[in-house]
Amino acid sequence: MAGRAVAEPDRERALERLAAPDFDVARQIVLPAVPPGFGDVDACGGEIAWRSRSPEQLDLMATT
Amino acid sequence: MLSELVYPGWQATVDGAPAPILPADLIFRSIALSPGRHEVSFVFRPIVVPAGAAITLITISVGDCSHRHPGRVRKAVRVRPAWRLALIAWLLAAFALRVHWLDTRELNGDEAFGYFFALRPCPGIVQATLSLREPHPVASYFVQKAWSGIAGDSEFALRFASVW
Repeated sequence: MAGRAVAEPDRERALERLAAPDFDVARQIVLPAVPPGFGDVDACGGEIAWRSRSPEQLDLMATT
Repeated sequence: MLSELVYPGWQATVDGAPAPILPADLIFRSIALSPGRHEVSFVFRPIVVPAGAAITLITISVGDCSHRHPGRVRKAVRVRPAWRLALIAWLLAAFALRVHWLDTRELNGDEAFGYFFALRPCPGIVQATLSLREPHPVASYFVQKAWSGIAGDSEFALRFASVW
C-alpha cells in the first residue's frame, strides 16, 4: 500500500527517481500521471486481505 | 500497488466499478483508492483470446463444411477456389493477429531471464541449469540461442520463435 504518488512522465527521469536514495519504495510510487486528489496525500498504511488468487483473476479487500 | 507486471488485457474494478490500472514504478500494476474499505479485483481479459477463438471456430466450421459429403464414399474433395482463398486469407489474418504488437513491449520477467540465459555458451547453459535448478528444459535455451543467432535479438525476433 503506497501512500504517496509522484508524477514523472519521462521514463529516464522516473528511473532516476526510483534510484534516488531518498525515494522510499515502501511508501511511494512513481506514476506517469497522478490521478486528481491523490498527489498530495501522504497516508501510507492499511491492510490487504486476499480473497482469491489465480493466474487470471486476483480478488482482494483493501482497507486504507 | 500490486507487484505484478502491467500487461495489456488486465482490467480492474473497485467495488464493482471499472478502475484504471496505473503503471507504478514503470512496471507494476496499481490503482488509486480513496480512504475506506474496498473490494478490488484484477481480471485478465485479453481481446486476442476471444478473437483467436472466433477465428479458430470459423476456420474449423468452414473446413468441416467443405469436407462434408453425406451418403457418399469419401473421395477427393474439390474445394472451390473462392473457399480456398477465403481460408488462406483467414489463416493469414489469424497469423497477423498473432504477431501484431509482438515488439511493442520490452522484454520482461521470464522473457528477459531466458534471453540472458541463452547468451551463455552451450556448456554454460547446461551448467547454469543444473546449478540454479532451473525448471525449464535446456533445449528451449538452445533453440533460443540458435534462433537469435539467425534472426537477431530484437523483441520481435526473440518472440517470433514462440509464435510457432
